[in-house]
Amino acid sequence: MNIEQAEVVIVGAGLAGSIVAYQLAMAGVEVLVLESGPEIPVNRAQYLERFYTTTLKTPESPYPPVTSLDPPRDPAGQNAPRATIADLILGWDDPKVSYLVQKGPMPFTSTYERVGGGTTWHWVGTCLRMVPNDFRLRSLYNVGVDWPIGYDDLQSAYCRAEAEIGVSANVADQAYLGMTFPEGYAFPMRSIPLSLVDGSFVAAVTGQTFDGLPLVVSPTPAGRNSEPYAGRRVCAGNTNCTPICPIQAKYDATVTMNKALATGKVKVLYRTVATKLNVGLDGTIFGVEFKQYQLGDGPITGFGEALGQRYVIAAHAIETPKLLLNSATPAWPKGVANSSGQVGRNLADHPIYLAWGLMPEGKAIFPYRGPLSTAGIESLRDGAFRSERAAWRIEIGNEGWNWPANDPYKTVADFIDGTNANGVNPLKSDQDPKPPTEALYGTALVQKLNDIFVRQFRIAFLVEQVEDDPDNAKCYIVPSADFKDRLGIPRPEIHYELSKYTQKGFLEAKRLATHIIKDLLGAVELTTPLTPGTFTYGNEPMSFQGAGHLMGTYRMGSDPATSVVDKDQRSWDHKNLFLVGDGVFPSSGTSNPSLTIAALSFQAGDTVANDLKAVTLTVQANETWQGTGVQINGLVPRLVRYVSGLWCASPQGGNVDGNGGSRHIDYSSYALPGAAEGALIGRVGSGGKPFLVGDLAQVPGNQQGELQLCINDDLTGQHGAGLSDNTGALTIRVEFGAL
Amino acid sequence: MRMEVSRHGPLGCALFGVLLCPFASAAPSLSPQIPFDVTATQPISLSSLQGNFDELSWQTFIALNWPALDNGNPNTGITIGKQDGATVWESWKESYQIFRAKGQTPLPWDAPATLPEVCKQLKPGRLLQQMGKVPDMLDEFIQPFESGPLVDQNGAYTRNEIVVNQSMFNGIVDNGLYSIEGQQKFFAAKKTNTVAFSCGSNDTSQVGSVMVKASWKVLGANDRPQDFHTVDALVYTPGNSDPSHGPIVEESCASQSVGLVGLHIVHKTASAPQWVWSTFEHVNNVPEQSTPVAQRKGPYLFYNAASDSAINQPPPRPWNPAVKATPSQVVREVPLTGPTNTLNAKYQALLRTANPQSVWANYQLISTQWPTAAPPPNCQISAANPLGNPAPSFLANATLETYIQGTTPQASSSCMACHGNAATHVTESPRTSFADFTYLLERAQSTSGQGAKQ
Amino acid sequence: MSTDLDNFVGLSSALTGIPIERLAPQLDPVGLPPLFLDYVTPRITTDVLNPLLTQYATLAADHVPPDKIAQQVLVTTQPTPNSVLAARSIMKLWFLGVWYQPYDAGSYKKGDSAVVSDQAYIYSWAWKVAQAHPMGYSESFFGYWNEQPSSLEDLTGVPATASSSAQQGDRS
Repeated sequence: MNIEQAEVVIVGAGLAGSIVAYQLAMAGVEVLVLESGPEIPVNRAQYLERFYTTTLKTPESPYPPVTSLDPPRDPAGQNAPRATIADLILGWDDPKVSYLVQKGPMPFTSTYERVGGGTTWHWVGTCLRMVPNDFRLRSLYNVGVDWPIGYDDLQSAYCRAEAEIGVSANVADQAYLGMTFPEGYAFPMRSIPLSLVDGSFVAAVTGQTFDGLPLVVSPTPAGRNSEPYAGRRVCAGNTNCTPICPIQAKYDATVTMNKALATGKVKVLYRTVATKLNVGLDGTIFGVEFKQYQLGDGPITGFGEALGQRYVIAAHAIETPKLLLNSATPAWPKGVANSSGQVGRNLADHPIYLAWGLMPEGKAIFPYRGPLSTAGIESLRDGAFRSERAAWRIEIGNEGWNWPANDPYKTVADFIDGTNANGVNPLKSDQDPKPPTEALYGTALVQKLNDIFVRQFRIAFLVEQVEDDPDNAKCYIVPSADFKDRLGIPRPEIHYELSKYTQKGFLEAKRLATHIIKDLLGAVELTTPLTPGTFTYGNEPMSFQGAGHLMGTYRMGSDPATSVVDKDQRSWDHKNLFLVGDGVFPSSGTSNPSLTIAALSFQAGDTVANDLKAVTLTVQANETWQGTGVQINGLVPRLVRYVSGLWCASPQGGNVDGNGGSRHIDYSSYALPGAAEGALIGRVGSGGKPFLVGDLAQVPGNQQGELQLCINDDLTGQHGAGLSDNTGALTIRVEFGAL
Repeated sequence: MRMEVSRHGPLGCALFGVLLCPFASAAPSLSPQIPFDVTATQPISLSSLQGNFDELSWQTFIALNWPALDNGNPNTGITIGKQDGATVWESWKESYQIFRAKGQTPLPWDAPATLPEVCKQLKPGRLLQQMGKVPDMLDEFIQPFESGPLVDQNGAYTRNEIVVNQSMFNGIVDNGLYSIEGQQKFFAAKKTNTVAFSCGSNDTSQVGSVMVKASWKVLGANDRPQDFHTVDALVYTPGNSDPSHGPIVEESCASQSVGLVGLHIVHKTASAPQWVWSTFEHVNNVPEQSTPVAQRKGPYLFYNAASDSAINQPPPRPWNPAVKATPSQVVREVPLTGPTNTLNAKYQALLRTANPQSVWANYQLISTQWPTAAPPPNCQISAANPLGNPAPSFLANATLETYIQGTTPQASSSCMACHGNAATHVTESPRTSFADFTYLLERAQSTSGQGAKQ
Repeated sequence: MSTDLDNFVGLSSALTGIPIERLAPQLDPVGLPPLFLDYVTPRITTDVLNPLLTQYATLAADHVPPDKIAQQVLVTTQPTPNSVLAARSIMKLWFLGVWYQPYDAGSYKKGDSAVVSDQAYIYSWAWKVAQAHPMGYSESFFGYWNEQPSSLEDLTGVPATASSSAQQGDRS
């Protein structure tokens, strides 16, 4: 039995866990991370080799546990299994092959990884912010649930996330649908050039509208280097972001975890699966039990408990609620952190409407080049229609028909074997007699394949999934009563379907897809429903794909009766427990969630760091510059916050708080000439330039030294009584955080 | 630079500068002349050309390591190896002297190097090798892409440095490529401007651009200096105030005797617009993975038969060069070929004719990577075949690419594949992004003082 | 007298349309042809392979153009009943780097498929035919996707047809 201790225990070494670990380490906090999967490898050779040599090149294909169609793997025999595409192909509703015990009625088709670095190993890299109205679905459109925070509350965190990830974008392209940026803000790197495929969409849709809204092609902000950045290479257009970037031009969370490790304050236990959270009599968490293994399908090699003062669960939106619900005890019969009953509820994906087509003869667009996606149509992510049907964004794909039709494999086979699995041999037409199905060879084969490949394109509508009744969600995860993994941990049982609201969104997506493909591009549409996510809405047969997004299962809110965490991602039920990741999203909007996960993780990191390291002190009115004992390193943002108290700088000024009084005095002997008399002033180091704190301010960046505070008054007494007649004191808190 | 299309020639021989070397079968000689390009012997085959390029590597190694005069020219009055001393390449310009803080203009080629303050106070000690020049300053110890430091048997990190020859230096300085703003100006000045370093050629008898990367280990009490090319170096560790980059330390400088353990030599020639990549190691560095454990006769510099440390794994973070670390346990994953071993024996014997104790006979060529595709005219890169089908497909120096050895495309070390990803700071188009296979241009800083990104 | 390897390369070239010197350059650091021949031989068996190679050698010696050789092999005069299936699997091997077992042979089962090696994938021809590169392997430089690709002929040695020439990338 191993006992591990740290100030903070984090479960999960993915995007959220790595960011929180990094931040806490930078704040001087000792951190222990429990990661269910294996170590971050020294290099990506093994992952890449697996990708190159597998026939099933799914998002999970490089990563352990290895998936295969033949023979299929039984998740009951694996220690840290996870959802895979192979599962969906072999039998999404067959627990002998599918890790997720899926009860339907529809399949949940998104997957994730359990390895050091998490699912960011295979994300596409899209770094869109949510638009302001995404946070107010209920107030504005009477559907879904409002967030307890808004876009403006996340502004500085989005900027920090963009810096950490390294996002390539231009502000001018991204300031739509109410999104704003700080004055003078520039993304870390310039926007990634559009592809030729994008260019054809730009030509086709510019000036066009759909339901009264403009169709605008926007470059997609991406966590992908467009310039040398943070020691990583620029993108070479390997067209393989998912499942793995061969050269790490695309950000993944190992970058942040390695920075966390470099501080010397973080320890990671890999192959260490959290099994249960233990709750004390006072309602706080007092430990995380874990089991350890060496081989993915081998015996348990260790077990123990991790103890900390704060606990952060960052295991993504299926494993986190699984852990919480598996921690039920007689004292907590609904599970840990679940008095609201909402843990595991509102499981949401961005179900994708995938459409594809073939440009007309003579209109080559040259897919299979560049990043997987460099642009999209984002202009329909919001609008009055959201009271009726789900919104979506459109991702323009650069990889031809690889996703919808397994190309180039299928089309090559069609023209060699003389089959027509892909609908281009022949391409449907009104010709009579119909052109023949050809089996080609030699020069003609090369020319025909070329002719087809260079005209392929696909688009993906990422549809917002909203429950018709968010307080009684139809989509949820509960621990399975019947099926376990090799460690004996109950596996996730999934209930999933698309609401009418979401399906209506699909219908509109289908309508626009056909309009763009046939009318605007002049192309032939080849979209057909794909299993297993088929459904019919009205008379329209359709299908959905998973986006690889899992969200919503421990949502934040302002009411403990209907939410799991508060706006600081702190559990309502257990004050020392934080739940991070996109499980906290009360609604998902249409943007890929990773950037918002990162932003929220920065905020959660601040909150946890403040719990442990915020300094509360008193600043006296009648003393000159007073040291706080807080060393500023200029690397992590710090806040100075007025808490309570009043002080007085002069009889005329009277008792004031940190904002000071109404007189502004410009004598040079004042702490900050020109600022309000009696205001709270700060500086970094004795030589630092004084700055106005007021009631709340961020310490100016790029300075190192001790933070000192002072009242804004005549410090030398050359104009009167100076400090000697001052009374009172302010209570001040120095925190981690940004404005 | 126009990206010329490569018309794939019928056979490689037609486009390799075939000089039927009249002395092809004669013994090579020790010469301070850097070869201009490969000399291809008939009949052409993959293995014969590999041998030709490997000879080029050795001749270049000898010429670059020739004892130097004060002005950096080879001292033709003495033969290499008679005595260990300052080499020709050690007089070349170091990367930190070119890519300076705030993008400042580099000092002229002949100007002595400017040292960090903390190094200036140190007396070099018995430093007579570098009269009139400053000793080597070694400031790099983390391998490419943060894969980790290499730790010797004494627990000390090896140190690296990069220098370029005057031709390449001129190519950087004359075009203003040493600062971000300079790079921007260069590309804006003319729509066809592209980074294109000078190309060596047998036709013009010109040596092209050459860059050298050297790895050194600090000589400890158990090391025999006479087994190494040694130098009195200033081992400089930059200060760090960011915990996420490692321990907080003040900058420091120590005068230490170091021995050469690895040497990359990269030469751009008309036969190889993707450059010719030669790499050498000290013969005692590491055993080959294919050698059974019991037969790994040491002693090795980076392997200990008695250790059970994991093979080819970097030390855990944080990395602090000031702290004694666990020695790395390194093996060579891709063995040297038979012909390479034969060639090494030949040249080591040749070096010993000048002095049986020649330090240079303690070095061996690992291999040479060269493009097999017919080179386009004017030393340009073909857009249809940018890397030119390199042979061998993979190449790693156990001291410089310790943790990325192997044979997985893109993940395992291949000089050209990796350096093909090098970029400038002006990534507006393929033309302006192309950095001609050197990562050095990424070190350019901004004159505004913002520095490189993050 | 040409070797089995020469005939295998020639046959592959005729079937796929990719010129011989592209499949098997004189200086070849990767060496797929012998690797493929060794891989393919037990999987289609010499009973099928040898007649194919002989048929190719005979037609080539008669200076029959490659496209016509392919027509003979696949359409007109299959040397054995399984020849067409075997030939098609060989074609897919070159285009995709994947071997699709065409029929039962010894322990090999019809329908099995495998990527022959990482190099087989990286040097597979379907991607160059698309004027692109295998997903996961790019040698090109940042921003290339914003510009026209090299022509089909530059990448494969096969010129585009008249109708598709209109859309070919022009690098000059």
